[in-house]
Amino acid sequence: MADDPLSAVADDVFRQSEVLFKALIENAHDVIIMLDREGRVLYASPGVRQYGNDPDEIRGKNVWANIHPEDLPSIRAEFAKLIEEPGALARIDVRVGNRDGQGPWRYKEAVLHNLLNLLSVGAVVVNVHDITARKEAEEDLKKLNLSLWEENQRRRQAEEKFRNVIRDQTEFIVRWRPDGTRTFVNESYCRFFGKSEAELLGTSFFPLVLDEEARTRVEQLGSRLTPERDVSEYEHRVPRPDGSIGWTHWCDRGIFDEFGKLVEIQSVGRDITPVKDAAEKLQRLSDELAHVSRLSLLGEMMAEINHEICQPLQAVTTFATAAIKGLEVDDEGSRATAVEQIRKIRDQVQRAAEIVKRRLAYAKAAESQHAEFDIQRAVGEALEMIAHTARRRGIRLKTQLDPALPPVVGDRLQIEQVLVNLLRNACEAMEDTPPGEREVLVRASCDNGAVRVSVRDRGSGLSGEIVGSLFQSFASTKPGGVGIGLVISRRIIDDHGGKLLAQPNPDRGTTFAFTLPPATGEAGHA
Amino acid sequence: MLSDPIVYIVDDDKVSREAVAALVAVMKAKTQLFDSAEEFLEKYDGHRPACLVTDLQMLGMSGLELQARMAADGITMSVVMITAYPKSASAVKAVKAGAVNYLEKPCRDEELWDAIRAGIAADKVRLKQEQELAEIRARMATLTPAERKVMDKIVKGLSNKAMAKRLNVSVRTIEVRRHQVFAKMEADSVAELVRMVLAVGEEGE
Repeated sequence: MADDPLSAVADDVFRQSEVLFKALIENAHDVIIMLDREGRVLYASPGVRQYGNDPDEIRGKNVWANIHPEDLPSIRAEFAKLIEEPGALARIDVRVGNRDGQGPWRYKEAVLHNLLNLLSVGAVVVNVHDITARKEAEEDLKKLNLSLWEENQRRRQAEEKFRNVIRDQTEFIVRWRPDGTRTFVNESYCRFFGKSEAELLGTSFFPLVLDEEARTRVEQLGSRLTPERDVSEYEHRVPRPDGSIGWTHWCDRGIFDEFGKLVEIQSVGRDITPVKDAAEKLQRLSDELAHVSRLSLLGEMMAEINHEICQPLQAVTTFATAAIKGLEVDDEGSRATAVEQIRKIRDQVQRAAEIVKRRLAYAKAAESQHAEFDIQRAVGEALEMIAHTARRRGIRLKTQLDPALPPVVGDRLQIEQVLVNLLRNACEAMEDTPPGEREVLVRASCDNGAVRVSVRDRGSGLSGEIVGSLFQSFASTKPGGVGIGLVISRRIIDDHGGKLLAQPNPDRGTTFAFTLPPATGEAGHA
Repeated sequence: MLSDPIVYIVDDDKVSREAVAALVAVMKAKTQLFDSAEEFLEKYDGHRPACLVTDLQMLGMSGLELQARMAADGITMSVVMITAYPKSASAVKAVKAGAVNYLEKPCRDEELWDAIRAGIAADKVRLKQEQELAEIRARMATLTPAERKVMDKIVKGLSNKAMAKRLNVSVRTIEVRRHQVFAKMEADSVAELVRMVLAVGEEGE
């Protein structure tokens, strides 16, 4: 064959093509294996070394031994099918190990090409590409997916649970935009207001806020909440589906975006109607009790009130008689004198009317009226109430009122009642005090921001036994007294958030003092 | 000695004082105003005839205490006591202690007017009586102890003879002293002498 120049050329071409072939496949990263019909290795490119096989050693040996037993049946079936069909291509994923049929298993993508019938090849050409990295990535991805899925599942379960909690709980939850538009409502919110979710979402809840002050508050909440101060608590009344008025307590929390802009507000509310009803009922009873005790105090003071009113009436009678007698004489100047006297009569009638009016005002008004008031005024009016009692008993009333007292919040009449009670007690305690030493001192001062009012007498003082039970019903320092006055007084002061205390003076007598918290912008009454 | 009547007004209420003063002014009587019983007692100058108008209840000394102090100090005058406590025990006490008039506030019609006028009138009468008594005492003071003893016996209704025997002097001596007693006492009869001695009262044996 070597002598034939043509054949020599052919040989040469063949050799060259073989070199080219080898150069191509043996330097390729992929492994090329050629198998016969039985799966025996006819050729293996040097790449098989990567898997611990020697290309020469495995030649002639069956390839199946290298395949993962789990993959083998499907691979053999695939192979059998392939060899029946000349020119067919098959792509398989397979795990390949070393000759001992052991791991480490690597994932291969193998493309099998049936070239058995091609004379120049006569083999199944297998192009093996390592896909372990990809497979592992896929595996990881699968795992990741799984955990993601699991996470999702968990989250979904948690959400479900949370949703159930929100749905089942009695607290109302509503989310709303700063303009009041509801974006979320839970079932108890819907139940409480007697409307469906569809009716409530997208509409403003502001009209439900019946209290002016609270409504202004929620309307302005959008501008008041900041990421630093994101919670607001308040109470207000709402209309109930049955037409009644309910009381609700709300805790609002602002929800902000990453720029600190308020997006929504989440309000969690409670129905506090029964609590409010009970509190109101209690307040009413308390007010009624205060009123009854005020009336009984007026009753006790009837003789003094009578005397007080008699004073101007007596002056009126006397002036009138003088005027009549003067006019009967009808001499010079008597007319002018009579006019002057009639003017005085008018003044005294007004004075009497004022006394009556004041006492009536004191007897009236059972419902408590909480408003800001000046404690000096209350002290002044209480002193007027007691002025006659004091006068009758020869008691001097002295005051030391700090002119710069802050206003207090409460029911002025009830505070006056407390003062009248304390003043009366003080007067009665001085029955055995020598006339020249009978004195009551009323002091009003500022004590740590609170207003402190004290009533000091120079009386017989309190025995230790009395001090302990002083503020209990029916304990009395007076033989005839029922002793309810101090109990009511303490209750009134308690209702006003203050304290009423009694203390013996170092020398003689007792000092009763009470405190009242000052009026502030944020009053405790919602 | 008798001068214009004066009304003392003692009340701690200014308007009440002014009202009473206005009423008294119409009577053409003088007034003097005090805002406490203590001030009145301090400034009282014994002006007569007088009437005191006061309130039972006042700051400091009450009207009743004032009345008691006046009695103790020998100040006698008509007192008009006004009070808003008609049923109180102190009012009853005031009446018993001899206050000329006690009035309930507010007075009816012309009660106060009448009471003050009556008070002044009564004080004039009483003053006259007091002056009379003072004169009797002055006359009595001119009697010698012996004449005084004879007067006491006359008042007891003893005869000259019985007196002479009791005093161990002659009937003639008794007759001389008896004449002196009637002359000094300016008495016209035994009855008048008895009235004078009883009016002076506490004197005697």
